[in-house]
Amino acid sequence: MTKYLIVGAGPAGMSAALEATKLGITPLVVDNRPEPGGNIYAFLSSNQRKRPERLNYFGAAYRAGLPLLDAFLKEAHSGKIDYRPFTRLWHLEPNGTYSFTGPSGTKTGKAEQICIATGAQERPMPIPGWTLPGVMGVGAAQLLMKAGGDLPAGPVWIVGSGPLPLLLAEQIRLTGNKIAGFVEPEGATKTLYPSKEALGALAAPKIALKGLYYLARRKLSGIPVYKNARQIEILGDNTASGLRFNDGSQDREVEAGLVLLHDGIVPNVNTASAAGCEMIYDRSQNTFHAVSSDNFQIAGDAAQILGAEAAELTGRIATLRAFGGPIPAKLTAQCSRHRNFRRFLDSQFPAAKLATNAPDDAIICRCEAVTAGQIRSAARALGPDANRIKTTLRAGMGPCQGRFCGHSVLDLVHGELRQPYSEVAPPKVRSPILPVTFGDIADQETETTGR
Amino acid sequence: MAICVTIDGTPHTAEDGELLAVTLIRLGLIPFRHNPVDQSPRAPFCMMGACHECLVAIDGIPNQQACLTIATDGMHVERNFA
Repeated sequence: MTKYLIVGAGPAGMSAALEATKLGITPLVVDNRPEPGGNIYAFLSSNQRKRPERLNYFGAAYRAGLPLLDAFLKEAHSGKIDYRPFTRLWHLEPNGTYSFTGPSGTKTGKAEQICIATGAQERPMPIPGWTLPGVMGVGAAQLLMKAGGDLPAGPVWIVGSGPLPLLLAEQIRLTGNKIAGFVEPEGATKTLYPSKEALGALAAPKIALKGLYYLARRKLSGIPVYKNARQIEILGDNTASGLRFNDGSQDREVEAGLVLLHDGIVPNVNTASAAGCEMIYDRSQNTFHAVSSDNFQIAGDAAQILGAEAAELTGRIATLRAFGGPIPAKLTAQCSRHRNFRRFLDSQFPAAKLATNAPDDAIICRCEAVTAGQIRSAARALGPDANRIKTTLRAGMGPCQGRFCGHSVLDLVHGELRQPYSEVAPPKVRSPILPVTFGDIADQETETTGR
Repeated sequence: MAICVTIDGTPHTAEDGELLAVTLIRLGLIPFRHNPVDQSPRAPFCMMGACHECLVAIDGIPNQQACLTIATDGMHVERNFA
């Protein structure tokens, strides 16, 4: 029996692991990346070692991960944390039975306690042309830059709104490049108004001020911003070459070499869902969240989008909850401060959920090439059951296993049948959670690890 | 340090320790694959292991995620064309 399995080595997973070592437990941490850090601190450790100048582009929030990363790597090096990079967990049962495949083969076992710290991903924005090369997420472009990559040549357009696009625009400016323009979809930005949510900005005044600074930067740099854009479409045959949209008064067409999409971020819930964790729809974040149980602790953005600082706190809480330790009141108080701030952000940048208005021929399931029109007619025929729609159309049955279209299918069913999200059955996630070969399954080896 | 990676039979220079997806994007080797259902061209979309658009064959093993793989000297990569 494995004492403690932690899925994911981002801020929540790393922090959960370090807390476990304080309780004398050696956690088993599996992560599919080459190095720990998750998305926010991606390649931070190797960048600091090999390319310290890169740290300057990504600012203080990136550098802030260094103490956590250093502590995690130190304990991993000394064997107090059993850390497995390049390792993909593809099976997890409600009783804690798991299988994963990594550089030392496929291992199976059973864990007494499991912390799911699988983080977040970008909400899909299924507009026509979004499967073309030369189109990627805003967060994806940031990861490419953190990994030392160059953005493809040509004018860079951002379609979307929110803190991440503003941050990326600033980071691109620091590398000496420039964003050609912003296209903000209708409904993606609200003008600041006095409200209960706006008071949440006071919970994290430094971050709120930074947001205003990035907005001012964007304004000063003269980057064009088209708000309330409709009928957004990416043009091109083999790669994105342009963007077409209506800015509320006229149709516009611009040249583009790279189109970056962003409609906020959503929890990566596939692992928790496959393990049978309860899923609840969070209306303020417009997405499903997984709920912790006796043997599963959901930590970090996988539980609720609160950002990296909060993930460190909820990671610690997850471990304390798993092993019955008292949770210091200070930790809980810090978490609620982050929740207040997040409420402010969520109210300023509501999800545009462009799947709802996607034209019938727009592709929703990238893997299986299923269109919005197919999903709408399936919804009319099958009712508000995303799982039946999935098994009928194969939307969500390709290699990504619904990580993208799962969200859009819910938006389409909600829009087409006018049913509240709470009445729409989300698609079920089944093993294997990630593609795996028959050879890997056949070669499974039982392993007990961690104390 | 520069290393050699063979992509679709042609040797290319890559940086030791970099992501294979970063190598291919830098070399302009786009698309990475054609979607097996509608044959449309695809390239990395999420860079975080979720979208599976960066699948390539590495050393004879098909459908490997280039965004989670480090390029190593002598690696043989085949893009996934229909």
